[in-house]
Amino acid sequence: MNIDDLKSEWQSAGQESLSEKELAMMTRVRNHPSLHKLRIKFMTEIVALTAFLFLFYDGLDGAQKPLVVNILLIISIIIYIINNALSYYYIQNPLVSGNFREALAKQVYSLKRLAVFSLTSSVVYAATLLFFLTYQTAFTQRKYIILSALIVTFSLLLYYSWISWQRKITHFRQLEADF
Amino acid sequence: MEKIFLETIGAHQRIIFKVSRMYRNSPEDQQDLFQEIVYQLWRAFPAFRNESKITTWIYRIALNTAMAAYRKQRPPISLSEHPPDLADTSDTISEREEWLFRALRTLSESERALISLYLEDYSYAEISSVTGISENYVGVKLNRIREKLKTLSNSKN
Repeated sequence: MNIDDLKSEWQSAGQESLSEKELAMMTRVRNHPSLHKLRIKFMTEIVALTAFLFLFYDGLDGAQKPLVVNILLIISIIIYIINNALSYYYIQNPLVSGNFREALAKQVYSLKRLAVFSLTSSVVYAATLLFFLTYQTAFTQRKYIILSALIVTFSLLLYYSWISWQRKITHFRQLEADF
Repeated sequence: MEKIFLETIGAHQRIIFKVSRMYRNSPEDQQDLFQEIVYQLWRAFPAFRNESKITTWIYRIALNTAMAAYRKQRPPISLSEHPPDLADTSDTISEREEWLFRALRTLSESERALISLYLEDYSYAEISSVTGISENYVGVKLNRIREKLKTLSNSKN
């Protein structure tokens, strides 16, 4: 078989069945297969974290802890929210202009930066939250066990997140190398 | 601007269908990718300056979008489940087309991008400009892809 014979199959393949109205719907985020769900998820997280920011002062005895501990918690939550916004922006605006090699190189660079920021913001958020909750706590053996379990859980989540980022970065690096 | 965009994309939606079908297995995934490509084309449209052919611009964004949408690796699909024999002249066009897309999906993502441009009759210089690799290397890569597709086609004989 001559591969050139397949050109006619390729060129005649596909359909022209979608109307302008259907295509117009596809240009809206609310009809996007994943962005719409992602936007709702991020908005829910932002609302929940903001509500937490307003409530922790009374509910979690923020008033009885030093100002610096409260400020640290607020900063860590703000960083986490910024990370969510950056992730959404990245997913909404993949680097699809320019030639493939350029686009993939930019993609790898941008993913690396996002991975560092995302993991850092998660570590800062988890550490600050634990610090806030345990500050001035009189530790008993039971509380140490609970704290250890929380630290192990956070560490495992971070490890899986790191693996997931690495997998993505390696995929795009390999794709770039393939060209 | 939206009117011009929709007319343009409507006239060239075959390209998006083909790229979606080449990069995704299931009809649902193909539909999602189609939608993602239209969305990315819409976002990129204001920056389109007629410096390249509209079809080249669509291919560039469509293929970049297909490759940029990272998905966990799935088990490779098999082409050996009695694919239609291309050498058989009694094959219908749709069978040959079906075989073509199944064969293309066995290639790596970068190979799919290259061969699609080649099948669309782009010159080596144009493929080089879209991909960012040299014309000579385009030739080398296409020869390897041709060999792979030939082997797939002959494997049943």
